[in-house]
Amino acid sequence: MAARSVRRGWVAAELAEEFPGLEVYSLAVDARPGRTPDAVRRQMRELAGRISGPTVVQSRQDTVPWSYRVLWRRLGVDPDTDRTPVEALMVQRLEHGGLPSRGTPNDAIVVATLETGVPIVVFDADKVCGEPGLRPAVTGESLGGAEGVLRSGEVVYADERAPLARLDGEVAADRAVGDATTAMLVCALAAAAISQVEIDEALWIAAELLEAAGSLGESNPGRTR
Amino acid sequence: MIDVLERTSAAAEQLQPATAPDERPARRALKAQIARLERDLARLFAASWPRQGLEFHVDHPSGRPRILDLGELEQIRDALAERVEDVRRDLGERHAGEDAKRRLIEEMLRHPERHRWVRVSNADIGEPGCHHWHVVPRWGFIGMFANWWRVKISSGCPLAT
Repeated sequence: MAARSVRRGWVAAELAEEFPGLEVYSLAVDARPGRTPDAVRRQMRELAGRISGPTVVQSRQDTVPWSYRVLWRRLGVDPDTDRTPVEALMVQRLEHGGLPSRGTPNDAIVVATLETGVPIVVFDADKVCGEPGLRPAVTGESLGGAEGVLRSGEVVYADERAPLARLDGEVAADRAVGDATTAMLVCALAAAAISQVEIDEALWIAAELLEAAGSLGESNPGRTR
Repeated sequence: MIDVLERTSAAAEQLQPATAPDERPARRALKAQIARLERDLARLFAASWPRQGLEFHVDHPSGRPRILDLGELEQIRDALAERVEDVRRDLGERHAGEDAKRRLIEEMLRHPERHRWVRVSNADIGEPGCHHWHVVPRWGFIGMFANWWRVKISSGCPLAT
């Protein structure tokens, strides 16, 4: 496999001016979707064990979750109603009493997001046209179908052709990882006050888990998704 | 007269600004205030644990992520400021009540006979867990009639059934 590197995506000028520090970074991974390896499942169980009510309460003061709450507020989203990805996962963990495995790439997203607090989305790399970025949606655009019609001005992940996903992680059906996927593009959303180290850590955690599961998938195509 | 009015109207037109006002400094200031208030609210949220019944929800409509106009940013800033103020006041009142309960526990331990049957729980003093302090008579009825009272401290939460 060719040497990989974290790439910085583009941000529309009006967003860059309004939200300094808002960035998107990506990392390409040669991996197929599949069953999550047992080692990663153990890691998820340990991760779930570390998340308790008090830790969730305290985490709101930490720089990374706080930064995304502030970003959500500044974007007009109430983070208590439409939670940031890391808070949504923490609440899900508390409500369900654990982190159920759903195969990759879902499990990689869960682990990377909970370990770092940075929101991660994964696309089928072959279905993304050019570099991914962030921009406001224009009238009439949708996330791959009439059901995913976007409001004009809604900030979305996009490539050179069309919107890819919402900021909350909902991916367009025609860009999502599927059975035929052979390469994935992992994207991380950066907000103000988030360091490059945290972004890189999130991307590499997800990439390594995807690779581990992808190599397992080649020899054992059994899937849990 | 008509001539004068026309001239006034023309002068008013000349006073209109040639360019739109620059909102950027105001927007920056509002966004900085939102960040600071969100930090304050997060600290209050953490400080309030494990107390129940405090309202942290900020009353502004949640929509799709977008660039907000100045008025919307002001609304969010105002709603956050109001919530922070409310929570700070409520928490202050709770602290005062909890301090009184702590003093009551000390008083109960010193003079149990003056606080017959009084019961104070961990929740009353803003602590997690199920401990409670309960003034009960020593040896049941004998203690009641002999005025022998003591503070019984529970050992914790009941086992889950």
